[in-house]
Amino acid sequence: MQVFKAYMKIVKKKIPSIIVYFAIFIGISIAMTQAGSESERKDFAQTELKIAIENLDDGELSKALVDYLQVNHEVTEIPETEDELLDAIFCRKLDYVLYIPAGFTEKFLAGEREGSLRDRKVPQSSSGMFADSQVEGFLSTLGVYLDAGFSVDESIKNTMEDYELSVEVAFLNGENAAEKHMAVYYFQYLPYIFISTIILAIGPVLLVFLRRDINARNKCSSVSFQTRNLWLIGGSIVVALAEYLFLMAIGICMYPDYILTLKGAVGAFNAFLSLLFALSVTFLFAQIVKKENALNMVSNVCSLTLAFLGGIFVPLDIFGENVLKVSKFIPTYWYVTANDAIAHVTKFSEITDPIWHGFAIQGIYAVALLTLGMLINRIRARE
Amino acid sequence: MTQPVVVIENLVKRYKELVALDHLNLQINEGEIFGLLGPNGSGKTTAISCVLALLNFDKGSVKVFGKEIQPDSYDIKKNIGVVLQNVAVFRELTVYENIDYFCGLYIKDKRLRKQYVNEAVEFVGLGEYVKFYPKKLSGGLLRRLNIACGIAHKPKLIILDEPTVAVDPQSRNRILEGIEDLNAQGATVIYTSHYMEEVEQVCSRIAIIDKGRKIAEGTKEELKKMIKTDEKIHIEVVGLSETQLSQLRQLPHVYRADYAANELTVYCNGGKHNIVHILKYLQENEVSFGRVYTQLPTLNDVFLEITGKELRD
Ligand SMILES: Nc1ncnc2c1ncn2[C@@H]1O[C@H](COP(=O)(O)OP(=O)(O)OP(=O)(O)O)[C@@H](O)[C@H]1O
Ligand SMILES: [Mg+2]
Repeated sequence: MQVFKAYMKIVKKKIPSIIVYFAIFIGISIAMTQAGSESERKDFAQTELKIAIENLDDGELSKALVDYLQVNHEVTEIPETEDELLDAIFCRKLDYVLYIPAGFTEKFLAGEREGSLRDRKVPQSSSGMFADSQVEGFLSTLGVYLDAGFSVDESIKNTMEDYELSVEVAFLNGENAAEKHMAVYYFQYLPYIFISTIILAIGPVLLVFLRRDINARNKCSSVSFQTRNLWLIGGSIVVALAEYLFLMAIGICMYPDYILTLKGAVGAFNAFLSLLFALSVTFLFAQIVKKENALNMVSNVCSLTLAFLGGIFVPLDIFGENVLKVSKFIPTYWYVTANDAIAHVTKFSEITDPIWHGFAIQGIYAVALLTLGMLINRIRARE
Repeated sequence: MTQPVVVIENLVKRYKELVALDHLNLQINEGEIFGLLGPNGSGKTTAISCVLALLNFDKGSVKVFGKEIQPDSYDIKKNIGVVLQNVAVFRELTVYENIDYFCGLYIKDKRLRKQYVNEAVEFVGLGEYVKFYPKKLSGGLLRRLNIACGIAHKPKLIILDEPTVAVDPQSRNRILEGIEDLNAQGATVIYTSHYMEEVEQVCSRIAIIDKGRKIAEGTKEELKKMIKTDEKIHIEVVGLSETQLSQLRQLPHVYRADYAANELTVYCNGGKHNIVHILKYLQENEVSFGRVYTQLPTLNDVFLEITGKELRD
């Protein structure tokens, strides 16, 4: 109890600096939320993709495909060199590159419909997949008309007509699905705030108690190691919980229509797990780091790494496969994935596997890091 | 029959190659102020740390209140008050809050604790400073706070590791008197220092250690009896000749005489009126002399005679 009381007294004295940190990180998050949501919404609102096509075929079908793509998108030549091409894709000056080989029309008419086209795109990007689905959709519809016995010209004409209609429909649906509720963004940024502020607010208080002289003095007392540690963790949980409730209250004021529903509750639980993760990270680093300055660095490095690689600041779909492989080791990735999935939950039975996985992985991380922290604490205690 | 409070037997502690404690044996009895005297790096803090189970040791045993002490011997620890060499207080808490925290580690009852904390504040004379933060305290006051934090819960055994390092004479006296008071109130005290004057002033029994080994133990009188010197006589003398110096060395009970920088130092063992004999000799030989003073041997002389070096350099 004594440890807890001293903990709270120290926290109280650090409140001004905690509020400053809090304001800074909320500010950063609001700025990033706006930037992030706008760019992502633009992605979907803009049907017009930038597509480069190399057409070596001189048949009617390839011409029709190019025409079709030209109706809805900006079609350009392929850049001269491979480097320029990669640059263009990387900088998103090009969303999609399509290679149509010579003899494509002939093969298609002969029934050989798969595998002759080649494409390049930003892996896993929504724009790339959108282009893919348009090309595939167009060709398969064309195939259906041809198989049904229409002439080549008629098939092309019918397909074009179908697509001019359906594209609009698909597009409208797409836009609806893509528009995330602002509360989803609100939730998305919480782990960033938790990690940065909790390391900075709680870390220094833990450091005080772990300081060599104080720690040695405490060890001489009749309060056991376990009891002291439990009170320290208890104090940290109380402070973290206060922050959590505060942010949830703000969320409820801003987005009551989302947060006061089942999704909101599940999202809040997800956020709670990320809070526990942030606490474990803090506990671990407090054992390793000796100075408060070092904690500032740890806080920045951790929160930014987790925010970028975990998909908090940038949509996960712009990552290449290799980056995604790394991201999967990062608990915030699982948080964000679960958070996105939670947006579609309306009843309890709709809590899907990605959501459960997200919960489980975050929980495992929290427990693992806490255990590691305890272990280091134990070892240091016997120095 | 006084029961030993601390018994250290054959204690060995190594830091890698360095042997910090070398088969140390000590026994501290109830009601004593036991002084552990030794130069810097002699192993005082290491010995204290072993008594408090802060360190693992390589060999030997440490019993406190009749039981082997372990890191989790909380029932023993609750009767020990500790003032460590490094000041251990919260910079973030005030003087009062600090004492209350450390006292609260032992005393759960709020009313009693309040009383104890106030008594401790009074005891170290920090009444005016209760609302101060440690960084606003002078070195001496900070040490006093460190002591208050260690003794507020009225422990039966108080261990102080160099509580007067870098402390002004005023605070030092206050601390030393405080230690005698605590002892008078029934506490057994272990006091480490490399200041022989302090140890001589307050301790009822003393162990002198060097390089982790105990080189002498006893009351200060016993310790001084162990060496030849009983009395040192200093006389300001001008123009003493070599012959006269050797004649002085022939006087009864004189076993050594040095002359340097116009000061004559004569070491005597036993005998009475040594000073009279010496002055008489000087008068008879018409040697003029100035200030005269005599000195009883100090623990420094004990240390010097046993180890051949000064306690402090
Ligand atoms: N953690 C440690 N690692 C290695 N050596 C140590 C350690 N602590 C102390 N020592 C060495 O052990 C010896 C005894 O040190 P100790 O601190 O016990 O001396 P001391 O008598 O308390 O000295 P002082 O008067 O300076 O406080 C010294 O030589 C010191 O260098
Ligand atoms: Mg020491």
